[in-house]
Amino acid sequence: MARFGMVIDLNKCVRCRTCYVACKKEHNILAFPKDEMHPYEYYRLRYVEWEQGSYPMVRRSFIPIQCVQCDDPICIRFCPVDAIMLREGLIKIDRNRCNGCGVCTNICPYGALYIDRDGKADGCDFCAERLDAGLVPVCVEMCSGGARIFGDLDSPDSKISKTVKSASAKSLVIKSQVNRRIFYIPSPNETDWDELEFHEGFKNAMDRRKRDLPPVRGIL
Amino acid sequence: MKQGKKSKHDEKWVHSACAMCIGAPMKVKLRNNKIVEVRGEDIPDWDGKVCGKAISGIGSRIYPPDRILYPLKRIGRGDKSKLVRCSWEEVINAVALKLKKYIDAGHPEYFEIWWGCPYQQDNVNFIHYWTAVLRSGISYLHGQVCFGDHAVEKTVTFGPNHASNLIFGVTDWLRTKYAVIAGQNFPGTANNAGGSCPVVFWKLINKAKENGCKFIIVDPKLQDSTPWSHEWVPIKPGSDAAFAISLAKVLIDRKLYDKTFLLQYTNAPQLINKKNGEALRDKNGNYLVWDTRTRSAKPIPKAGEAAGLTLGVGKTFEVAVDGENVSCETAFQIFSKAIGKEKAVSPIPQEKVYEIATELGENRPSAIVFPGMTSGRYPNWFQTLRAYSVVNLLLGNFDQPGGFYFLKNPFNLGMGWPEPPEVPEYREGQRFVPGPWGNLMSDKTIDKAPCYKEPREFHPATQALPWLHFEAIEKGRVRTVISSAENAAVTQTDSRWVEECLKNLDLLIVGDQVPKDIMHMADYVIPEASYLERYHLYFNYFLGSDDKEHSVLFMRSAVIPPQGESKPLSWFLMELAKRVGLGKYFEKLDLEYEWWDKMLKKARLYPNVTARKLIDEGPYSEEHPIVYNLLFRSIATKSGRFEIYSNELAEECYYNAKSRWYHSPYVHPLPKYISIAKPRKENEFYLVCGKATWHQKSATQNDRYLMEDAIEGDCEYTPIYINTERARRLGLVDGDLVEVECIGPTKGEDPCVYHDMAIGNKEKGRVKVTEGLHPETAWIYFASGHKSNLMLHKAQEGIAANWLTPCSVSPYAGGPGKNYSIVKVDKIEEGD
Repeated sequence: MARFGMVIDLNKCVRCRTCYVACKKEHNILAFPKDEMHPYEYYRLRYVEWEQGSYPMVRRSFIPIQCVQCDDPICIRFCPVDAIMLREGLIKIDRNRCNGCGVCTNICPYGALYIDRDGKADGCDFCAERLDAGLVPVCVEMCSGGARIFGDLDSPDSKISKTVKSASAKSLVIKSQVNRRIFYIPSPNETDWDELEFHEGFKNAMDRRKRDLPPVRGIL
Repeated sequence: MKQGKKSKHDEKWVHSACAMCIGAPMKVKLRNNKIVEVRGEDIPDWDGKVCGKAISGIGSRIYPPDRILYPLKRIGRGDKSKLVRCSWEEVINAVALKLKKYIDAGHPEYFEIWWGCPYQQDNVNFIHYWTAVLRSGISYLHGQVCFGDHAVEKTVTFGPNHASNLIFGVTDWLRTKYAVIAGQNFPGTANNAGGSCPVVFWKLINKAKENGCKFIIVDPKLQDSTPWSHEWVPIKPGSDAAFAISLAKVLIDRKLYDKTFLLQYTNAPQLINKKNGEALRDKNGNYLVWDTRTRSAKPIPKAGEAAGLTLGVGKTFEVAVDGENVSCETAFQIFSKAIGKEKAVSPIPQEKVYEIATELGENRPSAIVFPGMTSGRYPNWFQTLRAYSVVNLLLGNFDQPGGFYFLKNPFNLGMGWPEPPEVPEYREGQRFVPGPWGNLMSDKTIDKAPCYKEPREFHPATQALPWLHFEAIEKGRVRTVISSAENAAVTQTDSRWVEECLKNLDLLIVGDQVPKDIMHMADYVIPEASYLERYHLYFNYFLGSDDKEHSVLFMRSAVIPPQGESKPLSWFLMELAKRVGLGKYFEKLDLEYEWWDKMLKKARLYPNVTARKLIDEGPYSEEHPIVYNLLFRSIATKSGRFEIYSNELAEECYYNAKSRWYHSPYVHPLPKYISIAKPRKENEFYLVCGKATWHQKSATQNDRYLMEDAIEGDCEYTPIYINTERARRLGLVDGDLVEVECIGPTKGEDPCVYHDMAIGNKEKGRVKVTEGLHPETAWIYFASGHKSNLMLHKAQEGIAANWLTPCSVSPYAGGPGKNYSIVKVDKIEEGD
């Protein structure tokens, strides 16, 4: 059984938002600028972006974020109705069980899950239905800059394995969540990647997104 | 991909094209005759990819919930008026009545068609043909805002045979070592691979980066895609020419220029009269150079020959002309002296200029400077472009490895106009001159008349002279307008003035698929078939990541029928022609296949390549090896060489006492920095408007997918951005509500300002503070602050740049100063 993973090379990412749009279209995720009728955000994939430094020595960091497929997913541990499980090592949400309570969306340190228009939790599963059909995730297929590499991490000859073995590929660790499926290649001036979760700009960007999630509705 | 073969699920892939920015060959998946998926064609360098705009276009322009599916007419007046459904018959009758009236009165030019995007537009060649037959007006309004002044500068400096490749800066990226890109959200909105879609370009420059090319971005704003590059160098708005001249000075002082290139291919050795600054000519009118072998002047030799020529550094030559000795210097020498005296202080720290110039010079010819397309657009832009071009000439980087590249294999497609006896004679009594996109236009049209008078007021390479159309409406010389795939109500400067002008029209007919600002004023709205519901032949010429030159032809075909009652604009125009008795010019036309086949015949590709085959089998693609030979065509300037000293500007404008631009610094034959009006107080700023990578034109402005992350994400679309330190001094923080008032430039402050109704206009917006912005700049995204309540509510938030921008125009090049606005920013209380 393949152990699928992804590398996102931030040096190649031109920030075109193609992966965001392709993901929304592929999974028929509601696209509508927030208003009274649609007060929350709907996404499997999103971006956090923030500034570092001061004028004129300033840089803008940018990270596409989706479910990083934690080794021991906190969302599974805390789901009150056991609607989240691992299928071949990847997160799977049972929509019949999910009651849309919002615990998982609020507890995920990556802000990677959301409540969809039907009131169910949803998040990136590497386009499971496409994987079943022998295709790569749509964000990988459509990435204009060729910044996303996808494949079997256990296959030593795969491009992704070789890339991950390079010192430049790093996982994004937040609140000690171990994840070994999604890796990033930061730009050379992103020197504090390993401390990212403590960076004020990153934290603010993540917190801002949390405010766009519906509140937890209670356990049942 | 098997074409036309349905799967058991009634699915099939068909060939067509994207139109959401620059046209791209695209596959469309249909399920039960509905578009469900799009992908790039499986040809280099698309390899099955399209960008987010192509994907979102399906939801935002083909199947949006607010798609205009029926003709609409305005009932009532003023604020209480509204658009209600009507029939096509009603629209056609009303418009034909006006058209007939104008024709009968001998004034068909009272009727105009305005078009904007050549990709969202129905058959641009047909539209020009239609106006040629009916002798009505036409204008490619957007073209001038986009690249018209670039086209003029490149034609003036490099000649028409070499200009087109340089407008977008086609570059041999795989060998480029150092690139300085100014005035643009690079690489997000750039197109420096050729006439290609961003997918191709992004792939190519990622390879360039892997190859070690260093990218330096010079812009007032650290824009959304700029961090992809290696370094951002902030610059004060409107000061690019001073920067470029500073670079030139270092290159000359440190002798980092390419002497051989200058002598072979430029008019740097041309002799200029030291006393009056005019070019020296012999009795036969030849421009002269100094021949060091004979120690005498001789006619400037053709490009490529340099024997005996000199740059004349520090030298004066005495040349006998008509029995008198004239003291002369070379163009290179007078340029060197002029920039030595230049009082302009570099807008970038001198040590940084030195560093950049040194890198450029040491990496020449595999180093380029590109002026960009957006942020630097002021009336001094023409001279700014000239200054950047001269830096590149000093680097000798044209058709050299790693420099700018001239694509050598475009197809000669012509325009497909039907000719007699296929149709009756329509050209009689008209003089046609070159128009946009290879078309012809009457020299009497508003855009062309000033370019073909003696002496010229504007250069023939201008794409349009938009402000003249609005003035013509004011004066009753244009009375009915059809606006299609353009949005003059917000895309032209001094929008309030434009709006006031539009109110004088007898009729305004607006065509599109989705709501846009100009519809707010329309008497009729016509539901135009979308880009995937009609036919057009397109081409792409580009350098690929496979290190080859590519020429691609593809058809944008109707993959689904027009939705609702929508129709192509060409159908509407033909119906009008029938009603006014001119149907015989159109009755036999086949706009789906034969029109394009005629163009393919002209290119000598037919019958191997036909419109039908392009639709059935997909794009036609040619690959050619890269060949460096800039003399593949003659250099068609006055001197036959690339011109550092512009003989055209000297003779047509600067030294021509009859010219409107006589002795105007904006048309000086040598590039100059001309300062612009300035903000003076702490709360005054240059207001600069730029484009986002994912959302850069009218086609994307009402787009739910593209607007969403723009508005809700961390790179917000609707605020007014202000430098952190300036905001602190003004007591502004993120989210503060501010009033932004246009306070300049006025007509009195700058002779290039034609209309300043924008002065005193106020818009409200929310502040976002940023470290990534030049302190003298307030920055907003293009196309926020929409005025039409038909559009997405969120798209109406923010500030509309052109409502705060007076109408200024650069002399001769006709470039709109689309960022030339000085504003006052004041915090106001919520609810004010």
